[in-house]
Amino acid sequence: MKRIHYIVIFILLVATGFFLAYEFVYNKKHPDFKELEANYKLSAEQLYTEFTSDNEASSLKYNGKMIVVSGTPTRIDIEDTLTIAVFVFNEGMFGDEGVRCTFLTSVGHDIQEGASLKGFDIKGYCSGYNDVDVVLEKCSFEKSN
Amino acid sequence: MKKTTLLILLIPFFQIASAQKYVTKNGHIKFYSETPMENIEANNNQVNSAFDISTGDFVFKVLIKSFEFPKALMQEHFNENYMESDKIPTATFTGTVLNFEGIDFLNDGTYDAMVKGKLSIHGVTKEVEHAGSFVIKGDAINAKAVFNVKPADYNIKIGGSVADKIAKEIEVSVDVNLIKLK
Repeated sequence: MKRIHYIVIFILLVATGFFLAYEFVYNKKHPDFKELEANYKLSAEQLYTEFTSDNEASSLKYNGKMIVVSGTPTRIDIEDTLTIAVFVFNEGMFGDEGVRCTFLTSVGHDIQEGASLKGFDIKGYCSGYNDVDVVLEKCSFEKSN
Repeated sequence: MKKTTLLILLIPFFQIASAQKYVTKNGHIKFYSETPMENIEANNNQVNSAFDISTGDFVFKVLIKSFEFPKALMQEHFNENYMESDKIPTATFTGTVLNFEGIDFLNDGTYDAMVKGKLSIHGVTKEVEHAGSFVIKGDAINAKAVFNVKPADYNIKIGGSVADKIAKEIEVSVDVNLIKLK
């Protein structure tokens, strides 16, 4: 093989490396939260109780994890483009306190169109406890066991 | 005075007291970093805020993991390398609207506001004072402010290959629709 062939192969390999690094590292897509496996399954009330009893330990355990919560939401709030299942367990300076589950836009749209939560739990990404509510985001339905 | 009479006299007081507070749990905070290399924007729609029109007290609580970036890698770096959101999951602001007494919260209108208080980010607390605005419409108050934050002031170290891609001053935009707490 001529020297020029080695140079062309080297350039192609480097270019491929850059492309792969750009596509799969720098330009990596956000996960499909609907398809992510849950790390924990528990009732919404139990999750709230754990955070209010020991915020630090619960933050380390649950923050950044996918959680499935069971229970019947107190109500569904719609705020602009957000659809939120609200579990109320307490009253405080911000009014209701509990667990707030903000649905993925597509799931929220289904709920606004009349989809029922009956027979389903809610799966979402736990972003933490703000001294008022435990916040789950990117939520979707998960069939109750 | 009979107990029932006293109770009747006190009812309006409690109604006024509870009508003084305006809250939201879905306020919006955006931050924007502009450099010749790259512009970065992140949004958080889960901001808790409470404002008491009788005292001017204004509180914000922000979950760091609720900031959303267009790129997953940016979000990872933000949480893991810079904000260390596993260790320090929230940012807060506790302060006062300095000119709240000059604002007529009972009638619709637009007002300039000066807010002063303590901003805690990444476990570091600084005294800050910023201008903002209130738009009052019925039982709702829309509060807006835009100000700059220097990551270095809050012990956020940005180095290595990304140092040129993140501005030395980050523009923070706050936009909250506060609803009267019933």
